[in-house]
Amino acid sequence: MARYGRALAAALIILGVVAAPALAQEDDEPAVIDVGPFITRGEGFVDLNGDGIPDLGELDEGFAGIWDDNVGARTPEEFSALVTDRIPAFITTGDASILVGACGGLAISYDEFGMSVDAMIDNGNDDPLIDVFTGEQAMTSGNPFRVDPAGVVAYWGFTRDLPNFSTAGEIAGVDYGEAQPSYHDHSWTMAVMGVTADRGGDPNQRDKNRNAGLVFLGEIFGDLDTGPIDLTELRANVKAKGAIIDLYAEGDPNGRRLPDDFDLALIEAEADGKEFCFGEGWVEFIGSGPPLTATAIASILAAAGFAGLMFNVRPAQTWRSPTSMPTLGS
Amino acid sequence: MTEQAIKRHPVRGGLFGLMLGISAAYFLYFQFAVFGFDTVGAVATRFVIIILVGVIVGVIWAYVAPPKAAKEPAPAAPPSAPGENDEA
Repeated sequence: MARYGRALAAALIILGVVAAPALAQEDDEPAVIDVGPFITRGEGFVDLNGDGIPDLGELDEGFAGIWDDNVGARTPEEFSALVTDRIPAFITTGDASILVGACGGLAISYDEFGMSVDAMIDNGNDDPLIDVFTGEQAMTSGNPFRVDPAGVVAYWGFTRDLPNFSTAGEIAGVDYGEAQPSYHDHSWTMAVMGVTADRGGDPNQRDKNRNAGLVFLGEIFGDLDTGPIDLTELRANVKAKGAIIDLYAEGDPNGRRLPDDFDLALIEAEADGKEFCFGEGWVEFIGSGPPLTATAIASILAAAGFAGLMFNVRPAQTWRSPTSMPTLGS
Repeated sequence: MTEQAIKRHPVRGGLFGLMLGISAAYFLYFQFAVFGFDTVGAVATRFVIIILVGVIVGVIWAYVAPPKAAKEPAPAAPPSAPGENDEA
């Protein structure tokens, strides 16, 4: 009977350990910041679920930058090599988010049904990213940007009009028109877990200093061939970062690339006095989690390990005659 | 005459600790996202540390856990040979 009691106690401990984090993730507070003024482009962005954030509308299809990589352009071999290169580098990173430079904007994540999940803004000043729901700093490890891996992320971005911006690039044969301050001959990159996920750039001869877009995560993750793992069900906290530098590809008709392994100090050094933006923070994917089979196997492993420690590892009293050798080990 | 002895199982402890460590790493990373995926190196290192902690806990448990009582009573002492207990 005592054995059944111990097994029940073990099961309750495991249940408590695994259920507490899940319960702690619940939050349904309404937005405290009006993001309407940020939505300068798009149709049909209306609050349907009553959380104060406009739900998913439509944006016209835009144009990629001349030097932009297509999503997934990196080959599996290149990606694998990048991952392998990073493994020896154990990096102790801070928990806070960073957005440095003269850029800002709004990002809203939507679930697969187009309902808003999370939103954050940056006013393009020295203040950190702000959680639209709480008014506190966003993208920290304790308050990550929550994203449905089967959903969509919409963004409206801008750069401030600063005199330090270039007024034209220097790519031969490109007509930059009337000089206006903005990023020109720029190069940008985005990395997840320290591995470059996408990058690009553009001469920006139209002096664009506003941009809006939709990232269809469900389609991107759904199209990736990851074997039995369905990334649209991903449940994980992931660190992401990105950077853009004005005139980094100056004079290079092929578009000079930013380094694969970068941080704020490196971007500052690469910018060498030119205008740049650098951002880093945490994203929480809120999918349904791994497939039931994997969780079931892990649960069986946990139960077997715990039961084994409880019932098969404890020292056992035995009897020996003085002439016999002591027995140690399994 | 027989005497009481303690039989320990550190190898078993390590193996069961390994199982517990692997499952703990799985739940902490993939099911409940307690730990984040910041860099590949940091994730791999933490994964190994969690599993090693499981193994170490299992081995330590094999030495410090309260011992189970013997399943059988002490065997009866064999009869003494004549003169074995005589004083010199």
